[in-house]
Amino acid sequence: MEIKKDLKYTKTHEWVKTENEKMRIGVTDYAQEKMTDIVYVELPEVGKELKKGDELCVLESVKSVSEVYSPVSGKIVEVNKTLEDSPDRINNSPYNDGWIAVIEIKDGLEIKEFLNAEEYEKHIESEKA
Amino acid sequence: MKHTPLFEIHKSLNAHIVGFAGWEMPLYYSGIVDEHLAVRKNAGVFDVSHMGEIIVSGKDALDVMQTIQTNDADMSVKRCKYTHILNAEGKIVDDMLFTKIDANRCFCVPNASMVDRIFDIFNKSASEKDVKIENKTDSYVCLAVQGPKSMEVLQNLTDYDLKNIKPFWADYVDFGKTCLVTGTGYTGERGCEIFTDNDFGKIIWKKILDAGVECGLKPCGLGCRDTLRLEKGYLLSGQDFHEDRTSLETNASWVVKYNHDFTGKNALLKQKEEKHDHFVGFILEKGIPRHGCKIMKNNETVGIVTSGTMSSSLRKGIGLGYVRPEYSNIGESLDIVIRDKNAKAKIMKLPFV
Repeated sequence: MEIKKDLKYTKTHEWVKTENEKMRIGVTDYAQEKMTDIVYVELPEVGKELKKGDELCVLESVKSVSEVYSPVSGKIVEVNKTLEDSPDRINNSPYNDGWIAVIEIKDGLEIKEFLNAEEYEKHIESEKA
Repeated sequence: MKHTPLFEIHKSLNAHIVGFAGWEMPLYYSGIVDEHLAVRKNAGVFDVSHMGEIIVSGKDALDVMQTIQTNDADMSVKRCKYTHILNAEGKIVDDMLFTKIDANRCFCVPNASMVDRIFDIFNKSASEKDVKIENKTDSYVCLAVQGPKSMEVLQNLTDYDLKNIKPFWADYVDFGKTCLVTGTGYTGERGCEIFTDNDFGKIIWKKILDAGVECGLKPCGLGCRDTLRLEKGYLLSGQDFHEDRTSLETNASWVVKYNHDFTGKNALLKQKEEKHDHFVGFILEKGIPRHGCKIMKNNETVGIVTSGTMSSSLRKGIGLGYVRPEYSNIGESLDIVIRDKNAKAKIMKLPFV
């Protein structure tokens, strides 16, 4: 299982990467492994306004349905359309090709609440225990 | 949680384990989709030792068999049949396979979660009868070997001509030890199920994996067992029925033979004269239907989804469920409610593949 040093994480297993006033979002390697083969992605509309904690998108594996929550408040400015035809990109490349959406950040203070790689690793261990 | 005798072997193969009907079972090894495609293209082996084994023997064995289930148990030795066990209202308690292993002996395979209930039903109908009912679930390993190349793989392990194991026929086969082999499965592919004791079960599992390496045979978990059966439109006990549906409402009404008396017969004869829901399969343009999703027509609820998944063969969402008779024709357009939104679906002829 890979945890990237240069990314920040949430307790609900999303990763975030700040790009100026925007934030790129995906799910972690640990999350994709838990979900198994992802076979369907229900993407949000570009332009949609979300509050922190709102449902960002839905990922479905053969056996389960999982929600991905927006780690920040803001407006969706980009979604990864390639996931519609190749949802397995999330399994194969969760931190790169498998990114889900880019959100324009509304409240800069929210980005201070994320976990760093080390904290996220500890969080996974505590969930397993 | 119970474990099959192969549990440690599954762990050593890095199986992803889940709880199912009181058992800890492999969900998958390499991946559900990967294993699904291996069974459709080559072969796969499943440990299904959680399934029940109940043996009914004695002079009145046929009598008891006829009473408790819908199909006709008066058949040749070595014949297997699929059947439903109903309650007095005609609702399906469980479905099972049974094999006539000799003149007065029947080998029944109910679902894991229903073994105690079925054993109880057998015992109630056996009182005052010359018959012995044994629950042998913990004494058997059952391996399902499935896929177009499955019999070819197994032929390497025996001198017995496996061409004799035709669909829904059984025989004893020497794989180094004599095993009961039935021409059955739950995937819709060519193959068989092997019943043996707990020790030899571990040995033959290994032999099958070794013999199958060359042609792409894979160990398979319950995950792809579910998606494979769904593509064929086979019912799943506890999910597609739960003592709430009759045989006539399912797509397996052919299991009911009215030439003998069985529990639930009168209820079925009555329902035959009435309108009732029909079990159908449908395909979606987009999205995946799931158990419990409503089926709509013109904004009115006309049915319910009981099983659904992404079909690995078709790469589309497929589902099974019950709809009102007037909307059950092949080609009918329906809406499936997924997360409060309507998804377009069309009724398809089963099996899907």
